[in-house]
Amino acid sequence: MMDSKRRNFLKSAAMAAAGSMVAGNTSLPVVHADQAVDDLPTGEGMEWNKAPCRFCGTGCHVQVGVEDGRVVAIAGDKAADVNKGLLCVKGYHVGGILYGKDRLTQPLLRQDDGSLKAIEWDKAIEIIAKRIFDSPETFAFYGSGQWTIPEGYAAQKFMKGGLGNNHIDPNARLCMASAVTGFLATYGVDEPAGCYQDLDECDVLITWGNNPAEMHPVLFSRVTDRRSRGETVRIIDIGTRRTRTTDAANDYLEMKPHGDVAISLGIMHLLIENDNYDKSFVEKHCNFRGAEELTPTLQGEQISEDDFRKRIAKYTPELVEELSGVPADSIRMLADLFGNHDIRITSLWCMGMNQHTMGTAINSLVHGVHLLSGHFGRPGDAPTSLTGQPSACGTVREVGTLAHALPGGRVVAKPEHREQCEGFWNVREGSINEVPGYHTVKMFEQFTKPTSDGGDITTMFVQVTNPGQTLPNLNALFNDKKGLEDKFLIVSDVYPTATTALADLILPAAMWVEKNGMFGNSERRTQQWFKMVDPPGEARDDTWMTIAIAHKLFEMGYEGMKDKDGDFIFAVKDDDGQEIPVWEFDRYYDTNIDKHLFEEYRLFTTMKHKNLAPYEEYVKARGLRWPVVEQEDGSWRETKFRFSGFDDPFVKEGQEFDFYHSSSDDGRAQIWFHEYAPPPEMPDDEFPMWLCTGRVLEHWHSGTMTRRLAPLNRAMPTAYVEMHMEDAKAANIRQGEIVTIESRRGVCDLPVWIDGRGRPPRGTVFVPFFDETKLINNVTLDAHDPFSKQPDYKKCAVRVVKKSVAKVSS
Amino acid sequence: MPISGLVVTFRSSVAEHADSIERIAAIPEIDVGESAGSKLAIVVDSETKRRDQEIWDSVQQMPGVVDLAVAMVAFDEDAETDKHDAIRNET
Repeated sequence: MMDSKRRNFLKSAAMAAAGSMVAGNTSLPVVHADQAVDDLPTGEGMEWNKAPCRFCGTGCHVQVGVEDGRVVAIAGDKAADVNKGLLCVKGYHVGGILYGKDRLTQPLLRQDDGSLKAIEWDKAIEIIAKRIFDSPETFAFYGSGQWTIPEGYAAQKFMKGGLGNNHIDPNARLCMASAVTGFLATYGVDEPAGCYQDLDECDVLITWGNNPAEMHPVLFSRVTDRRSRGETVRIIDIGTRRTRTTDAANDYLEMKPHGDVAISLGIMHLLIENDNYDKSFVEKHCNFRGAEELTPTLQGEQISEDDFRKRIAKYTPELVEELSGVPADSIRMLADLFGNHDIRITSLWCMGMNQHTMGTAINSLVHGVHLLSGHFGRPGDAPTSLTGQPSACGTVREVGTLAHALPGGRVVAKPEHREQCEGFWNVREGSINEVPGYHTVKMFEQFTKPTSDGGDITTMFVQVTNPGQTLPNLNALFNDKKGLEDKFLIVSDVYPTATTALADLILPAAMWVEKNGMFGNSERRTQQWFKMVDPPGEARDDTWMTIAIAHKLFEMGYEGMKDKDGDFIFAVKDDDGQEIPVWEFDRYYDTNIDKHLFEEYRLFTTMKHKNLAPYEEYVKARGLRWPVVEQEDGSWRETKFRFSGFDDPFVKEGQEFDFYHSSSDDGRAQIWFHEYAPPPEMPDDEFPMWLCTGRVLEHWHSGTMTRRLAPLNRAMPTAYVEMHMEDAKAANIRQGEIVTIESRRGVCDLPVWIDGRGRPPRGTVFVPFFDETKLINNVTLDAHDPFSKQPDYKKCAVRVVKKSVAKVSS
Repeated sequence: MPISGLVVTFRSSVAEHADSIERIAAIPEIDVGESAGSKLAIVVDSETKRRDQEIWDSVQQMPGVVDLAVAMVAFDEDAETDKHDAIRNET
């Protein structure tokens, strides 16, 4: 309990913090850390330090107040350009995620009778190392966009440099892989060209199957704030159900699933038809591209503008209305907006366009709409994808923790890329395997298939993610399986989860400010923080786990864990040249491993012009957007608008735009044509409704952190199924009634919320996936995009079956 | 027992939302602070996290309120952990 003096002191500080936000002057450039803490309370031993928020990909910075070794306060960081001192409801609670009462605090090994027994760390590391040593090629490492950059880099080096094994993939495969392939197909290089400043300068914001009001609220508030200041920003929400974003929108265009593909084709058709596309921009900076007929690739084949015109001619507003459900006049309205060169248009998207069996296509098409209309590269004119995880960009896309990738935009399939990486890592020539490993869905299929049936993954290590809840079509993977006795699942996490429930060995992990870290957010911003408090019990850093396993293999004589000089591949030496035994946890913080790993990783980043600054520059800043380039005076300059001559240092002198990683090697971006195709599974007589899954404001992803926060869990205690009133009436289903959602793959029982927070149209139901007691992914479809391999969680066919009546408040 | 400094954003100038501001000020746990343009600073000092959440929800649902953001929060007790019986029993 706080005494009244301390309470009054904190109230004054809270009022001062809120008051300073109201008074304005919140638009600060990147500044040094100590400049932001001046007006935060420091009495009674409280210390403040900066960290990015642990939750979504927005990358808000918080100030963390620590007293007596415990996080006791969180403040929005006024020096942070991303959030300008503000936080959303999840950021409000981020400090509490460390203190759930069921934190995992010791390694646990499953016994023959199914129980779990506490074991020592040494034993745990030995068990893992022995399994890998005995069969390195059947080991797989599964991580996430919640891996810090050094964690992902260590895992990447361990697998591809050390084991010569490419079976490493992240859960980001499930959330943003189609954005990656869309960027690669269009620009030849991944990640958005613009930044959050686009939200401050656009005249029109189009949300494509995106709900930033709930999923990225701080970013959305940048737009709604402009309106409340009297600025005009037109928000157009294109979606399959009404959300809180719809409530703020000027226009809501309700589309059928896959309608986005038709809409983007329709806009391009009209831009050509009306002759108001940006001829100058297209002539100077773009090529046209289509998929090869026989074996489509990301590269595609160049087509002429005439050919493009011919292919797109059939996508008239009337056909698009038929395919998408959006009225032809609304398609004309969109095309007129894009045809207007006096306004600035930003498109935002996230899971709606990425979790899509045409994910690569729709990403490329929306880029194409912006390129064809010339709404690109000026502040406010941007096609921008957001990410759901704090380091999906930094760790997955940049470090390349994907089955086919190597750090810095390289791929295992290219000999010169393998050679470069072997050089950076000082490992023997030929160490890196040229064959891509298994992508996420395939990896788990191979792990949950008996070895005798060809299931060639026998040991899997999962860090910082919860696939037992989030993979699609879970039934097929985990339920009623036999013949898996030789399989071994290792899970590192902070709390018990649906995945630890499946694990043979559970490792307790440190989280967020219990360790050093670096994230990379949705706008190319690399962020750094220091450890502030100790983890509970025996919980340890994920990077340490990887290094400790690697060193155990080194001790066992595994050749891959030695570099060309015979040294341990993760060797760290002190100023006297003596190796620091960082694989021993009590010596791990004798040095800053993050800094060592980051400085090594930084060398990889220049090939794709994603240049990073030295570690110490990130210590001083609230993140820096790459490419970060050293100036003549020794300072480091970040880049807000990539490919734009006025800002990007790598654009050729005198050029307005330069797509310098163009896949056609001519400095041009690609405007793609893709034919519309219907979803792989559509409602029919047997399964007559669409199912869409997603997130809710209160819970982050699978709920393992936010479900431990009582206020958030009370606010949203259970998953539910959103249903339209008329559908409910027709089926005689009442508010709160428990129903069974059934697909060809599985079932899930849920209470009904009629016309609730989100309002699906007739024939559609929506279910959030945060609830580990109601696994909607037993029902979802594992069909995926052919290029990104990202599954489509947004549409499959289900039926709603009456079960019983229960009480649920609405 | 959280203490939080919050920023309420209204659809238009704060002056045009006198009724909502009166209702916010009437919540005993709230101190109303500075306002400028469409933004109003408030501090919430509540006895329990449940009450804190109720207040948060109430303010968010006031007419004219388009956003509620956090500037600072201080708390001095453990996060309350809800039961995850199925999983916890497993481990």
